[in-house]
Order: sequence, then structure tokens, then C-alpha cells
Amino acid sequence: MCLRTIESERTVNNPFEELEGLLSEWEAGTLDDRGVERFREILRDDEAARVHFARLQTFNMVLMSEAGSGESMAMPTQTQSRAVPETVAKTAESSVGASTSEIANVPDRSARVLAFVVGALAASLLVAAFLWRPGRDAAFAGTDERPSATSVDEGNAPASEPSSRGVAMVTQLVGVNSHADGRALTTGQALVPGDFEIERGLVQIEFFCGATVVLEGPAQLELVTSDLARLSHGKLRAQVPPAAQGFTIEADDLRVVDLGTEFGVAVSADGADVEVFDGEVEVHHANDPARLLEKGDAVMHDRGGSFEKATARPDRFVDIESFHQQVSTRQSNRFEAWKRWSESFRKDPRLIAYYDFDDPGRWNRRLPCRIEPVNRGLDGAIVGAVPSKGRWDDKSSLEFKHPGDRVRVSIPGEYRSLSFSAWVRIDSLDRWYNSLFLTDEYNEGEPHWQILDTGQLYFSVRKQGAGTGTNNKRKVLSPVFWEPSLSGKWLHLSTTYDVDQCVVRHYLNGELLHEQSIPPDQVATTTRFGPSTIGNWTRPNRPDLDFAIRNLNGSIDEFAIFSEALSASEIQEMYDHGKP
Amino acid sequence: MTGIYATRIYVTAENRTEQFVQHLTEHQSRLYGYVYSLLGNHSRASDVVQETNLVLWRKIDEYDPAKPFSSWAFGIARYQVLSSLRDQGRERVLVDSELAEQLSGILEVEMDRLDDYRTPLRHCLARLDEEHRALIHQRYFREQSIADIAAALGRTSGAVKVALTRVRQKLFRCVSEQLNLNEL
Repeated sequence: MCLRTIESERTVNNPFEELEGLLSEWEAGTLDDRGVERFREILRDDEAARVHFARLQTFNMVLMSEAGSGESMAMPTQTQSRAVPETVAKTAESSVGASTSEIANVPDRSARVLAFVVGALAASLLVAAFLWRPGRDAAFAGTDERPSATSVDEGNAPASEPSSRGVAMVTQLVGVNSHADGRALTTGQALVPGDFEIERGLVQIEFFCGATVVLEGPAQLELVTSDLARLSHGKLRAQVPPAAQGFTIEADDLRVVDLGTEFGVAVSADGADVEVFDGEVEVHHANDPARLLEKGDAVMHDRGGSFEKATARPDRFVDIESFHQQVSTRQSNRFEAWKRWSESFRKDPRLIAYYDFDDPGRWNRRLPCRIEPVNRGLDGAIVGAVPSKGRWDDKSSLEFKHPGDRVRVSIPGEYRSLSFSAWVRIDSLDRWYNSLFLTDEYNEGEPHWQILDTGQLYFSVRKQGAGTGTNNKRKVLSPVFWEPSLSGKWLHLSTTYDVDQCVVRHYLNGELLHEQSIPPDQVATTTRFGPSTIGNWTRPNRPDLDFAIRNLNGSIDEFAIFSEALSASEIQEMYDHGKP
Repeated sequence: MTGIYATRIYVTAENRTEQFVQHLTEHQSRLYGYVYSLLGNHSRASDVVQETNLVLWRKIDEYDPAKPFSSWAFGIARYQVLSSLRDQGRERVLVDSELAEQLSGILEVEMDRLDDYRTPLRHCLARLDEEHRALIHQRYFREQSIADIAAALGRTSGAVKVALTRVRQKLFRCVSEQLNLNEL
């Protein structure tokens, strides 16, 4: 970050700068007694300084409540947001009936600071609080994603654009048991430059230039750039569409430059082998003139340095089609296994809501709740989002892309402890808050489950009155778990809210990511949902404010809420049965 | 006749309570801002605001819907602040009782306009560079300490403190301009 000075404010001898400086020091806890004395002196003698102080404090108060709450901050987004067609907004409203617009909501965030009254004084007040009607009607229900004029700021480009070092991506795997970057290799994983090794199995890698490589283990491939890789040993087959011409594989001391084709390269103790199945490649060696190989040609370059002509034997190399056959066989096995598990899972009496997203109809805008016994009232309404490929080829998921994309649900009832579980594919974290599940309001006992742009999982349940401002200990942020190299990878996220132990736990892929205790007075022992949204936030009417954009950029493939804090082993089990 | 009359009274009483609660909740930020400005300590300010709420609630019978709620509420808050300052013990405070009296009038006026600041602030936040906005976000939402922010950025605490102060000043100037504060 560049901590440069801001020229426009360096006005000469601003009489209030000293006051502001002293106030900052006080807030940082670094103002000494002399400073306090000086501060009082300035204010005592100067009416204008007192006015300035009052304004500064009012401003600070608003800054804290706006920037600090998280609940009410409609921060501009990094990427320019798209306008949501009115029809989408209308769908949002009609698909949930009138429920959003009829919920009385308070006209100001401060209005939610009601707990002291509600808790300590009289329940009747709560009723009174819910009888209010906002000053204006709920004309904006469902349109909170409407981008505000302030959300686009073309004048200020980010100082440093976030970047990923990825050069390729894993798109298919069969029988591979390897790690990359210290993580188990899975499809959708971005690969950064460096050595890539598999002991067995097959992996399909798509280079960002457009070339696709099927690598057969045991093999070692060094990824250099998005159009260059070095094969140290093992076999690969490359398919290179015209757009990726020039894609190069180095094998031993050969450079195999593609001219739009499909070819195989094998490196063994004996030497390097290049075979062309379609199109042409150029083979370069030291200072020799380049050799052009055409369809059906092959050369063997042995360790002694001699070239030998041969005939291409495509069947030596796993071709992409039969590879996919293997992939889909294995996939459907896992998919079928998951389906069987899901049949019994949906009968778990602790389930409050469960959506498996396994319904590929593009225009079916109803998301069935899969709990058994069936409760149609828990079905969700899909707005904007469209089906896309799920964890397995035969399973669908729902993709959230646009600021308006969401699933509206309405979940009645009151609960105590809760657990959330979701299979999520995050393409990128574009928003400050990237929603998994948010209740419309943020009233007593209502949970908000989301991911921050930093890649931290964030969970909180509103407890009114207790712990305002900096004493708020309810926000439970995990360490950073997501980074751009995980883009496109299916992840299992889970969070448990245990009101008896006063603890929140975050899990990633079945493993505990973070555990945090909450002061008992800040734990809402009664939890509830009401109108809520998966993959976005549907804010109740807030006439005076800009709209928050919190849509997830990615897909959700399974989503469940439980009325109990699941144990670590139960979460591990969900992960094991659901992993792709 | 009696029946209708009785009903009307009942409705009126209910409306009064509703109105009271609405005002009270709407004024929480203002009250907090007022109290915090004078006490300079967040946990104490929370306590005093709660006490103030309690007192207001107990005195609901004195509440006159025809009169501005804020002056009534600020009056009671002021009393609570002053008694808190009296009982301060050895805790450090930024403002002494005398200065608190001097400041309370202007604070009431300004805090009453608090909601006017919100929209301009959002506009001004949007105008910040990404990095400065991130700084505000880290400090006020993540509640990271200056030392933590500094560590994450590989900067000294001093540099971050200065940067934060400047961003805040910039924001404040921007908000002031939008509100035409300097011309009032």
C-alpha cells in the first residue's frame, strides 16, 4: 500500500489540524496528560473549535457506524456492477409473495439497537417495534442490488490489481493421488509455475493459452508459462486448438513447438519421443534446423543424441476421449454414492432446510427443499441464477454471477444452536461481503454467513444491545482460507453456532478452520431466519441508503441448515460423502 | 359513545408508546455519539447510553409527542454523562465536567444532524482510492489494531496512524463540503 500524503488537504496552517491530531492520538490510546490538557485548552477558548469538534465527532460516529457495522455498509465494489433488469427485481418480489414488503422494518440501522428495551423492559415493546411501518413503502423490495451512482468510480483504479500466478488449471482427474501447493489435487485448481508431479493416474490440464494436456502418471511436468511446459519424465498428449498455436513442450533437450495439432510426447530413461497424431509440429534441437513432423510422423531422440524416425502410435497415449470415459465412469460412481447417501441424509430430523440443487431445468425457478418429510413451504425461489455444472458432470449446481442472482427462501420457526453446510465453488471474491446465506433483516437471533473479500469466512448472529461498537465479539472471522488459486474449485464450507458452549466453529473441507468463543451475554440463544437469501442479500427497504451488493461470484451445489451444532466428525462425514 | 371513546383513548396510548420506541431507537446513534464525544471511552459510553435509555423509558409519562424528542433525550443523556464524569474514579477522561457543559449544546445540534452525514459519507468513501478505503475497512470493520494493519502492510505503526488520520481528514473534508458545513 502506498501511504502517500494527500495534497489537497495540506492547507496551510489549518487551525483545527492540531485538534484532529490530538483526537486521533486519544483514540489510539497514545495521548499523554499534556496532550489532554492542550486539547481542553483549545476547546475551552474557541467557540469555532468546539463546533469543529462536534462536527468531527458526528462524522466519526457515522464513520464508525457505517464502516464499522458491516451490516449497513454498501461499499462500492471493485468491479463495475451491472444494472439489474427491472423484471428480475419484480420476480424477486413476486416470487416471495408479499412477505418482504410486509415485514415492518425500522427506518434506520440505529433503530435496531433496541435490545436494551426489548430485553430489559417489556415484551410489549417488541410488538410495538414490529408494528411500525417505514415512512415510505417497500417499493425497493428485492432490488437492493441496484447499483448506486456511487458504486462506480472510474477515476480511481485500484493501486494494485490482484493477480493470480496461475498458468493452467486442472480440469479432470482420474486415479491421481497427488498434491500441488501442499493441497490435494482437485479439479478446478489453478496451477502456478513450478514442478507438477503425479505418481499414477491421469490428469487433464488446460493451459491458459488454450492448449489441453493429458498427463499420464508417473510423470513430472514443469509448468513454465501459460504456453510452455517441460516434461522431465512420463507421457503426455497435447491437443492444441488454432488459438493456442505455438504452445511448446520441452522434452530433454528438444523443443516441440505446436503448429495447430494433437501430439504426444514421452520422456523416459532412453530418450524423448515425439509423435504427431494430427496437424504439424516443429521439433527444435540445439542448433539443428527445425524438423517438421506431420500427421503420423514420430521421432525418437535417444540419450546418445541421435534421431530416429518412427511411426506414430496414438494408442500409446491416452486420448482425451477415452480419458473422459474413465473420468465419467469414476464420476458417476461417486455421484451415485453421494445420491444414496443424500437419500438418508435428508431424513435427518435436525435439518431445518436442505437444498441439493440437483434439478437441471433451466427455467424451473423453484428450488425444492429436499427435507423429508416434504415441506413445500421451504422451497426456494430462484432469481437470476442459472443452473450450471455441479461437483460431478451429471449433477447440476446453481451459478450466481450477476448482482441480482439469488435464491429467496423463507424459513419459519425458532431454534437454538445452528449448523450451516454448503458445497461452494468460488470463482472470485468481488465484493467486500460475498454472501452465502443472509437473513433479510439483521435482528435478534438472525444469522449472517458470508465470505469477506480477503478470503475469510465470516459468521455472526445478531444479539441486540450487547457489545456495541468495539465490544462486539460476535463477529467470527476465520483465517484466510481462500485465494485466487482456489478459484473454480469445489469447497465444502461449514459453520456451527453452539449456543450452549458459546462457541462458533468454521470448517473447510471437513477440517476445523477456526474456533472462537463468544461472551455469553453476546450469544443469542434463540435463533431465527424468516425471509432470507442464499448467495446474495435481500435487504429490507432502506430508503435513504445506497444498496449493498453482496452476490456470490460462483456456484452452490448443496446447502443445508441444521438445528444443532454438528460435531467435527459429522462435518467430516458430510465432506467425505460429498467430495467430488 | 362511551365505547368508541374508550377505544380511541386506547389507540392513542398505543400510538404514543410506538412513537416513543421509534424515537428512542432512531436516536440511539445520536445519543451514543453525544455520550461518546464527551466521555471518549466506548465501553463507558455504551453503559451510559443504556442508563439513559432506562431513564427515558421510566419517564415515558413525561414524554410529550408534541415536543422534539431529541432535546428531551439529550437533556437526560447530559445529566447521565455529567454524573458519570463525576464518578470517573481514576479512569482518564478527555473532557472534564466544565468543558462537557460547554460542549453539550453544540454536540446536541450536530448529533441531531447525524443522519444527514450518511449519504455524503458513502459518496466520499466511494471516491477514495482502493487502498485508502481498504484502510478504513480494516480499521473500522475488521477492527484491526493499527499495529496489526501495519504488520500486514509491512509498514510502521506510525506510518499507518498518519495514513489513517489523513484518510479520515480527507473524508471529513469531503463530507463537510457536501454538507456545506463551512457555510452554515
